[in-house]
Amino acid sequence: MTTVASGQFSTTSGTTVEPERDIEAEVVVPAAEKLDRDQIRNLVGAKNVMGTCSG
Amino acid sequence: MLAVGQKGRTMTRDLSHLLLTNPPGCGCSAADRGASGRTHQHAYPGAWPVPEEDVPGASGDPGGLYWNLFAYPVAVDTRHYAFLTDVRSVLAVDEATFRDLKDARGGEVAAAISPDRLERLLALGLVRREPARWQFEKVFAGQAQARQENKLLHLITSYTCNLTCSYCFMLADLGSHEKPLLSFEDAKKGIDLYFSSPYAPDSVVHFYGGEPLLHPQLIDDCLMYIHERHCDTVLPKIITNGTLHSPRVLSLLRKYHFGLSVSMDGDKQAHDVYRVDHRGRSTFAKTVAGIRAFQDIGYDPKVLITVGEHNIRRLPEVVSFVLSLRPHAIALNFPRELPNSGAGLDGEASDAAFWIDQYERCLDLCFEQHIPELYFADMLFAYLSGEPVLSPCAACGSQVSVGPGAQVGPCQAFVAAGMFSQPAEQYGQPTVESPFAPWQNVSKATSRKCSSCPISPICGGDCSFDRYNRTGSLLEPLPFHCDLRLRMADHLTRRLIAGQPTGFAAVG
Repeated sequence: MTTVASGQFSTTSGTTVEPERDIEAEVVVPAAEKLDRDQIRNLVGAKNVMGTCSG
Repeated sequence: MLAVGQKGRTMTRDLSHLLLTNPPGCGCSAADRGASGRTHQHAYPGAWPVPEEDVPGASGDPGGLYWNLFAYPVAVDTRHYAFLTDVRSVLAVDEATFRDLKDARGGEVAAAISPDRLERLLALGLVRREPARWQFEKVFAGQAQARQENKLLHLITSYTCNLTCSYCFMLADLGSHEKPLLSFEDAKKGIDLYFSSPYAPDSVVHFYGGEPLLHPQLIDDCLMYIHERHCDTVLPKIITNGTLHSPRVLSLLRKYHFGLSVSMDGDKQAHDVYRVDHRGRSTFAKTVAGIRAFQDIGYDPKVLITVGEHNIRRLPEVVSFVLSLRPHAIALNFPRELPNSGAGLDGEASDAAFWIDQYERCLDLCFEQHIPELYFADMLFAYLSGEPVLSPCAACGSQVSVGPGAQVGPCQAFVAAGMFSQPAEQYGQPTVESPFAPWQNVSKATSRKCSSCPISPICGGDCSFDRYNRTGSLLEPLPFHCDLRLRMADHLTRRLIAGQPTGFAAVG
């Protein structure tokens, strides 16, 4: 990668990309903790439904 | 029995315009969301893992940097997010990152990104040090190594029914069955076969039909036999049309604690399009009476709604009616076969996106009423447990279906169709091709689409019968089903961002 005069960047393949800028990203929902079957059933309101296609 | 690769039944009602939106490419929205052409080939690998030369990122340098395969970009209003379905977190991201995720999902990170930015992307989980295939294998490693065991036994009590629903996939090939009824002797052969392999102690024993409540004695005999000979902790279930609630039936229901599911297509207008008796008479009132009779003796039945042209335009209204009956849960079964329909689909109803929009409207109703929709519940179980499901359906290694004549196979719909099945006596004979064998290679890992899909860790799967009938292969999901589940993931993301309950149960 090389810096070109315009402030853009040129990759090894020759394509020109947007100037670098800081990523704006933040965690809005943290990684969920794993729940056990009873906790999930209480939250979902149904048991695990192996074979939903058949009810 | 048909061999692997043979075509399924001829469809007399072609809904392919709804389901195969962009042949010959896979056509699902995931393709538009950034999968490269290379990741969206349609070829059918035969074993786990997929051959390396066909896998996106498989040949990548372990020292390289790759976008998180499971970073699913979701736009909500004007904001952009990434749902990391592997670790089950949601990030707000800027437009450039959002665009990168759409365009290079799982691919190598461009060299143009600065070291500082890369560090942040790595710390946030948006970039991984493993190529896409390695990421996939890491997420699903636990499932791939899990002990295989039977979890679901289907007993098809008969190919007879007191209703004549023309769309019924179980009763579409009656001419191929010499014996319409499952004898107790034949049932025992299938039951013994099921319990001869490793099985879950809480295995589901599902009585299916035809109409299983035409045969209460057989159900009683089978459960007595299972309890005495094999296992007394199984979970019995019945799927019924709800019209039979005689004292004999209610006595059976009082004797065991069944999971009960009633098939019903909505209000009278929707229900009576297909669900009529042999004289063409309405069964709506009987079905409602059945649900109430079951509730009166302490049951909390689910309602299974077949969605088709007969109710898609009014689906929210139809679902509202069903929810008013206060079922334990509902399942919206999207189009399988509607073979004898004369009416065409036109206007918005001919657009698969409209069907998916209608589904989401109904999902909102289910949340408002605190009544689960079971396909969305599948996704919730994967999300909340952190245990991704590798198999797209129970028939892929966890299920045995037994039909009249002691025909056994992995899937009840295929057994009914006379496909992928064999007499129980032939099971395990090395000289006979097993109908179970083709399912051993069916998983998200052997699907090009699933193994490169950002929502694979939370996708509850689809229907092998649908796959085969549309494509002649078990291995790839249909675009419609993919798009439906991508919409479910969108919906879940929005709920997470808004801080809304992810489950259907009332809080507080």
